[in-house]
Parts: sequence; C-alpha cells; structure tokens
Amino acid sequence: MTSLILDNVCVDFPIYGSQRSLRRVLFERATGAFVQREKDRVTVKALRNISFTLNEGDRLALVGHNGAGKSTLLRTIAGVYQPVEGRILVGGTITPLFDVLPGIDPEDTAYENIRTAGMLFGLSREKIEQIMPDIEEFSELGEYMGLPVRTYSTGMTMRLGFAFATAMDPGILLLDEGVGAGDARFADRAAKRMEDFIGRSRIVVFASHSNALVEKMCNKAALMQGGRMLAIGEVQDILERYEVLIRGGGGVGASIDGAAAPA
Amino acid sequence: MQQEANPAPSARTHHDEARPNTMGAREDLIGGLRKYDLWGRLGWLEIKRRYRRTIMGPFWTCVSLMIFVIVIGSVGSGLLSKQTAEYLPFLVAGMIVWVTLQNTLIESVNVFVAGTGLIRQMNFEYSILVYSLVWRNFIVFAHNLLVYLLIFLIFSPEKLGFANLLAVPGLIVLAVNCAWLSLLLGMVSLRFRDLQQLVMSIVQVSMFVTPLFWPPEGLEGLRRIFFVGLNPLYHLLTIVRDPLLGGKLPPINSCIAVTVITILGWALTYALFAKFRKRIPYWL
Repeated sequence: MTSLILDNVCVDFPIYGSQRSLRRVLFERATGAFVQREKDRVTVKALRNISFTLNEGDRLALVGHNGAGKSTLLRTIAGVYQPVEGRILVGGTITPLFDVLPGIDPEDTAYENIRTAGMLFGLSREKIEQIMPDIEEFSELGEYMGLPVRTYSTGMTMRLGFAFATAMDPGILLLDEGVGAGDARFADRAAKRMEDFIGRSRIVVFASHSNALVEKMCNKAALMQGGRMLAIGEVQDILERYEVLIRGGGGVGASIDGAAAPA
Repeated sequence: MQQEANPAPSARTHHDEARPNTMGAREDLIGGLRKYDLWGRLGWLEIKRRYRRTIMGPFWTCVSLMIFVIVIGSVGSGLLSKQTAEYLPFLVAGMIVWVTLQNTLIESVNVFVAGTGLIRQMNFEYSILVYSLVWRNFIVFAHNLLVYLLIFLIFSPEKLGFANLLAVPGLIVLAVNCAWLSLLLGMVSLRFRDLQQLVMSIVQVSMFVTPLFWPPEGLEGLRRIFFVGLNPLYHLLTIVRDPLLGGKLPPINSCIAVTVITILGWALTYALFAKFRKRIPYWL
C-alpha cells in the first residue's frame, strides 16, 4: 500500500545576509509567517506542526494564499527540505513535479534533456527509451526533438516538459500549480492526459489556486495559512472556508473563526 | 528522485512500509558513486556544451595549453638557464596535472550553486554533482594529454614508455582528493560566499609558489620545507608528474604525505557533510 504520513512537521528557514530589521518587517508582511530572531540568527517559520496521513487513492489539494506554505510543504514532502521537528514517512515512490524538466539545459536537444531528466528521476535507460515515442508523439515537436531546446518557443518547451512528466508512472505525485500546457488546442489534449496521469498515481498532493481543478481532481483539501494547516477535510467545506478567509480577512495575516490564532 | 519503498514482508499494516524520506551522508556518497551512469552523463554533456558551435571543439583547451607551455617554456628556460628541450617536457607534465587541480578547485566553489534547480526539486545524492565535476575535469585532462605527448615526442621521445603508466594510480588518488576538495569547498562556499574570492587568489598564488615552473631542488632550507615539504599541492602534483617524466617513482615522502592528506581530507569533509548535508538546500 502506498502511504504518506506527516507527523508534527515544522520547517524553519534561516535567513542569511540582508539587513536584519528590514527583512523582519518584510517577511511578516509578505508571508504571514513568523520571523524570529534567535541569537543573531533570523529564521522564518515556514511550516508549523503539520500532521496528516494519506492512503492509497487520496488526492489532496492544498489551498491558501501565496506564501501560505503550500510549495514549501510540497518540497518538504519531496525530501528537499528536512524538517527541524517532526517526521515524514513515505511508503512508495515520490515523483515531484515542480519544474517539469529537472536539470534542463537549453543547449541540449530534447532527446538529451529527456534522457538526463529521466535518469534524475531514477528511470532505467530501457524505461526512458520505452516512453520516448509517447513523448515524441504527444509533444508534437517532430523534427525539433533533435534540435537544442533553446531554439524552442516557450510553448514548445512547456509541451516537451509536460509530455515527459506525464509519461512517467507516479506513485506519490507532488504537483505544484503552473505545470502548464501551452496553447488552447494543446490545453485540451493536455487536460485529458493530465486526468489520466493523476488517475494512474496512487496518492496526489496538489497545490492550486484553481477551484475548478481542485473540485474535479481531488477528494480531500487542506487550507493553509501562515505555515499552518488550518483545516483538512472535504473539498467543498475547505473551499468554503477559504472563501470566508478571503472575504473576511482580505489580508494575509488574518485569522478565522474556529482556527487557532497564530501564536 | 524516485525512492523505492523497502519491501517489508512482515508488515502488518501499511504504515510499517513507510520510511523516512531523508538521506544520510554515507548513503549520499556511496549511492551517488554507484550512479556513474548519471554523473558520467552530466560530465560529458557539460563538456559537449562548452564546445558546441566551436570549430576546434574540446581541443581549444589543448591549443591554449600549448601556447602557454611554449611561451612560458621559452621564457622560463632562459630565466632558469635550462635547455628548452629539457625544460618544456618538465613544464608540460606539471601543467596538465595543475590545470586539472586548479580548474577543479575554481569550479568547486559553485558546484552546489550550479545544481540549485535540482536541489530545490528533489531529494537526490548531492555527491553526484561533485563526481560529475571531477569527472569532467579528468576528461579535459585526457584531452590535454595530447599536448603532453606532442611535446615529449618532439623534445624527449626517450622519456615516453610503459613506465609512464605509473601515473595512473597517481591520477586515481588525485581524483579521490579532488572529490573531497570539491565537496568541502562547495559546501563551505555555499554558506560563506566570500570563499570564492579566497580560493581564486590562493589558486593564483599557488601556481607560483608550488614547484611547477621550477624544480623543487631549486629551493633550500626553510623555504624548501615551507613551499615544498609542507605544500599539499606539491605532493598531489608530484605523484602524477614524476611518473609522467619518464616513469620516475614519486618520492616516498610525497606518497606518505598524500596518504595523510587523503585520509584527513576525507575525514574532515565527511564529518562536515554528515552534519550539514541537510542544510545545503537552505543555504542556496
């Protein structure tokens, strides 16, 4: 069984350089997270006591303002950031999709970039060659596949990245919004492929600002604010609470009824 | 990076299967080394990229080395009153090793900065970045061997023989040392960004105070102890250069010194890496 368990996870960002008093103010304003000064070291409390368990079939949407900690949480689950407190247990294969082609180099051809990215994701050479025709076909890049990626338009690069990412077999899929899909005609095909891709994964954690996507794709949602998870539960309930938060607070630092006020 | 869950046949609930998504220093260094497929590829691609759209390709590094050796060689042989035919081979054998060491040191301060995109995206063996850096510098070394062969064929073909292959073990030891140097410098310079300038100036000065343009016998007394005996770069240079100069065995002192440097260097680097590996993404 695939599973993902977070137990009281806290993440702090130490900030080096820059003027102390100024950045203290700025961070409080910009992120709603709490900047602490401990013995000359400034830290941003990016995630506070996050706990939840996801089992096979769970599709969790993370909703919240910019700077609420959604991306940090995804990166922490991916193992990029190690929590200062708490722990994360992972049963299964994690596929993080934040930038679609990791290690992409504009001087290399599409083939070269896909082989590099595939190896970075831990795919075998055989597996990479096996998914290559699918990527060629779906991205519709044709002859361009053999040219350096720097000659591509933005849309073409996005198509390549999208085609590669969605050709994999994800176990636990971590998706950040903005894994986009190019022009309108392509967007249509991309939506279908994305659905299929998400359907193939065992667990999905998805950070998004699009309510429509969240309602369509996810069976659970969590509301984040200032590095805390205010609530986790049914998609409809959480989206409603998010609405209340937006209308009621208007600002980033607002707290809502029923939720623990940030201490 | 995909993380395969350990199959746990005795698992009673699915929670038993789950394991922490963290990686230790040992796992990183050894697991990374095993992925030679990946760091080998990253090293090659970097070399290919560097010389794309050039006519001479990777041989540019040979050309510039050739020019350097011939010009400095002519001046140096005059200054040191040596025969050009004798001095040029000495200079070129030292230079091909030095260039490798020097470029590794200079590039190392950026090894993690260059991997920012990857480090922020996934949990993988950071040592892969280090191995790929060392590997690509040794690919450049292989190119520069051409200059070495050319100079020796012209000036002292009698010093080319199978005994010169004694340089191979020296090269392997040099690579092992380049790896810890690169990891250490990469880590420290990520946290303290001023290290880059320091490394640059140390490398620049070292080129002149290490017996590279002049033979170690040229110094005596305290100066010799200081700039030759106590100079780790000299020992690292010598274990490869001496065999290249007609299959000479490097002095036993240098072999001992290099053994000590390798052990101490790795011990220090390992200790720091074990303690601070998890901080690396935060330092970017």
